[in-house]
Amino acid sequence: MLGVFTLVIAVLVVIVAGTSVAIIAVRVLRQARHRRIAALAAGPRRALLNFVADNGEQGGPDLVAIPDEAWQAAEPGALALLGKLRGEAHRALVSVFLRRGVARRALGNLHSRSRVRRAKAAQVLGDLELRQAVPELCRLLTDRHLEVRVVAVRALGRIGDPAAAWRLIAALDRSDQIPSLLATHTLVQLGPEAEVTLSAALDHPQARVRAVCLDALGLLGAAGSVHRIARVLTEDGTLDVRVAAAANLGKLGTRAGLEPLTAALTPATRPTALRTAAAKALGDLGATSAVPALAALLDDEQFWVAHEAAHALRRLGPAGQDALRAVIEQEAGRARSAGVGAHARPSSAAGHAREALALAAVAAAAHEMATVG
Amino acid sequence: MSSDVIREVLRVSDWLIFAYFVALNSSYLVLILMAGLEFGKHLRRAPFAGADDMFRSPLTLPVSVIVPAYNEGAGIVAAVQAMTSLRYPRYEVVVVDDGSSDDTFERLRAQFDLVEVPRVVPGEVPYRSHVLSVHVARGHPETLTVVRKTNGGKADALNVGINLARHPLICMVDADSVLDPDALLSVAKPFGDDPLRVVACGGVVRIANGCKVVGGRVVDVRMPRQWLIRVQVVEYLRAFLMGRSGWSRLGGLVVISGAFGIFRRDLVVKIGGMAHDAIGEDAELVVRLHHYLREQGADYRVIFVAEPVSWSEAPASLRVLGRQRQRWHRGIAEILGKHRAMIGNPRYGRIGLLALPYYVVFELLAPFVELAALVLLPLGLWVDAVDLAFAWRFALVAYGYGLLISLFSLFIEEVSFHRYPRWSDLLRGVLAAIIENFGYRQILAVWQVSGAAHAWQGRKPVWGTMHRQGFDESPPRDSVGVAP
Amino acid sequence: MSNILLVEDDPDIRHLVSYRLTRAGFTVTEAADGVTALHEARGEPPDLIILDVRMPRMSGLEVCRELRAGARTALVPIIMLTARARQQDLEQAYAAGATDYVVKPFSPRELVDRVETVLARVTG
Repeated sequence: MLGVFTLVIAVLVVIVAGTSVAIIAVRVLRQARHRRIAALAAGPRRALLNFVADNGEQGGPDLVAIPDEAWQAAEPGALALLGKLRGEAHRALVSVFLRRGVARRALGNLHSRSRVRRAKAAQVLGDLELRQAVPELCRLLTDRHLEVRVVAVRALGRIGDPAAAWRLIAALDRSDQIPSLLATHTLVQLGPEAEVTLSAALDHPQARVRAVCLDALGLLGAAGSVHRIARVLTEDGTLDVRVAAAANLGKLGTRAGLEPLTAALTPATRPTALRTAAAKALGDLGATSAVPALAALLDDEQFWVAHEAAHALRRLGPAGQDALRAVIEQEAGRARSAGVGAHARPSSAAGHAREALALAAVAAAAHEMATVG
Repeated sequence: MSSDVIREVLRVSDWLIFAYFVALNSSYLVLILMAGLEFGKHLRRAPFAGADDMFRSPLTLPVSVIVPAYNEGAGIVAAVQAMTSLRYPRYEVVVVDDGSSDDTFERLRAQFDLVEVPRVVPGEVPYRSHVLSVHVARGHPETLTVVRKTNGGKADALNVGINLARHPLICMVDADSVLDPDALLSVAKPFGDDPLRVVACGGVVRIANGCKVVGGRVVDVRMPRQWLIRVQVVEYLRAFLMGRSGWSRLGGLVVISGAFGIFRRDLVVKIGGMAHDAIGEDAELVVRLHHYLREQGADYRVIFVAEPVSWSEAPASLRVLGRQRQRWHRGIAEILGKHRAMIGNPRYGRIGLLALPYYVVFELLAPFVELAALVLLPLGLWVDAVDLAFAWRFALVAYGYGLLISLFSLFIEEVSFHRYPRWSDLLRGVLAAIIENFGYRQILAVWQVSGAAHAWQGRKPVWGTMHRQGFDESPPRDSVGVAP
Repeated sequence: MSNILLVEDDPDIRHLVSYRLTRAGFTVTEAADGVTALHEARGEPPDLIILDVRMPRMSGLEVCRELRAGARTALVPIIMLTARARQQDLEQAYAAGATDYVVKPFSPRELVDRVETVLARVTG
């Protein structure tokens, strides 16, 4: 028994010593590797930066001639630089990558068996904003692994080719889903030419797809789709989709949204989420003819409906703010005539109105400070 | 005759204790392995993780950062300034002044040009105090809100903050925490990556003592000067960084630090916000969240991110440290008691069958076993139930295994994050690992046992007085809550 | 020959912009963080400052405010490099005292053009 113990202790000592050595070794190796890479990359990095700074006018052939090992060391930094530049400098940098075959390798790696490699390749192609990669990236939208699909979606957004829109929408229709916000952001990046596809997708059987397309249309400012969206607001079968339709009608800011949004406010039996979204949207819309409808909501039973109505009125400018003040005065008047005066407990409507007016005053002051200073 | 029985009993207990230590350390080995795998996976995927995209996207979910503050006058301005300049696209900071008796509010008012607004406070989450006034920063009303209320404790302050939070994600941060600039982005990212399932995400807390803090940012990471705090650094690496990452990977994360955690606001509201009567209100919230979501049969995840980081000041004196650990252990005991229906209950999946029982056996009872060892082993020696040769080997193996685990943590830390650049700090870490297992844990066990005892006796909690002086040699503030 | 203080923590961007400005005929002083930048600016006030908003240790906004508060540096034109161009980011930049801004990702050529425009506006 004792012998076993002694053996175990011996083993422990060995492992403890071994681990301590390993810790030191890891640090030494890592520092050495960093030094080596930095040294290797120094020359190419400088040449690359100067080339880019000159907008690609000089030094191209030298960059192509850099030995592979040195280039490998400098590549991560160069890739990081891609995201920081625009215009001619960006194009110059991309040309270097292309001439060194980076894009070719990445396109090849899209078929790799390792998902990390596939994802990395997709990321590089997105950073390079390589339009030729779009068909291959679209193919990646049906990849087995979610993380690869996510990188493909991001890359397609970065490249911004509207031809990818319908493939993207089709890819949303899966059980293991790409995050909706990511999909929306990418669709927006595809630009106004994607609007037609998005508008058509408003009839898609999946609620999630409809919601994503609505959000994308709203952010794109697709005023042409406003009637379609208004129809979704009144007729769609899923609440979340109708809420999205309301929010985006507000973002679009066209007059055609006024009527359906106002209709969505009442009766009070409508879902709270919808009424809240409609109230908020009317504030975004900016049509002062909505003021009476919103003012009527200030004493609504649902906290968030009243809250959004008050803040919508605030955003509707002087007309809305007058309505807020009217509510406060009305209540003060009622208190006076009831002989209660200062003992009156403020109603929730007055509370929301006061809050909105105070924030309006602060915002006005802030705006003034920014423009003067 | 009876002395033979005693001897036999002691012998058996000593072996049982030994087996316990082996099991405890082996479980940590598993967790560390899991953590190592998780870090590797995370680091390999960094090139295409999309953090930059998240920062630039206009759709990234906005966050309300809630900061409860009580008598934080000395550091509150620097803290809030740092918190309002984090790298995140859209977020607000809600500071809740929990009836401070010092100049906490005045300093904020002067620095940020606060102006009062009559905000209507929603009552979605119950709170027990009075909200005195709500203020916003005149220059940017959308980004900073400061609430003054009557004193009600940290949980109450958080609840008021939750009520006034405008965004779908809420991040609860201690007023004396120092956040890395990308901390909010990292801790909110899981919600963006897996929006349908992620409900809560905890960030790692590291020890700020000894680090150079400039303008609310940790600029230089160094080991603290006192051995007592150095030991805590190693302990935090092992128990919190490795332990929690491991549990996160296993799907059994039960505790998220109150010093730095982010939650979905709608779910927190649904389960009623923070509990007022709990001493470890941050951990209690997570357990209750598990309870609720399992009952609903929801497919959900609670995550832990290991980087970047929130930095907190650790106790510098044995007395303050003891009180802190007493409180933490009391918190564990109370939470496990309150939610005992979940323990061992298959209805609660991995939480009920794996995580909570583990907490009972290897977290709650660990200090008891630790103390038992300290008593029974010498006793066994004295009555000749065990001989000296056995005893010292026993101790060496039991505690040596623990040392090995601490060293493994340091190794994984060196491979993945290597936050301590100086060689001298590395050496200090190794030495601290030795002290942690031969001395520190045994001493701590005393307070931990007393904390659990307090919980079971139902004693009234005693809050330490808070001295806030900043990140220096002076005694730190007594922080509230369970282990970070 | 105008003297420009370039405050940027990213060494690649710093090198790139510095190179381009030098080629365009300016003298460039580089600073990798806000503390160094303030030190340089107060020591010898430059003709123009290019300032990155997001930096460790001290954010660009803080540096800008500090510069505006100092007697020798209050009138030096400041161009901020900012990663986001939403209304409130720009308002924040102007409120801190920036003269102009350039959004990242940026074109080095445009930055140099902007520098020349601002200098012309100030001296002209």
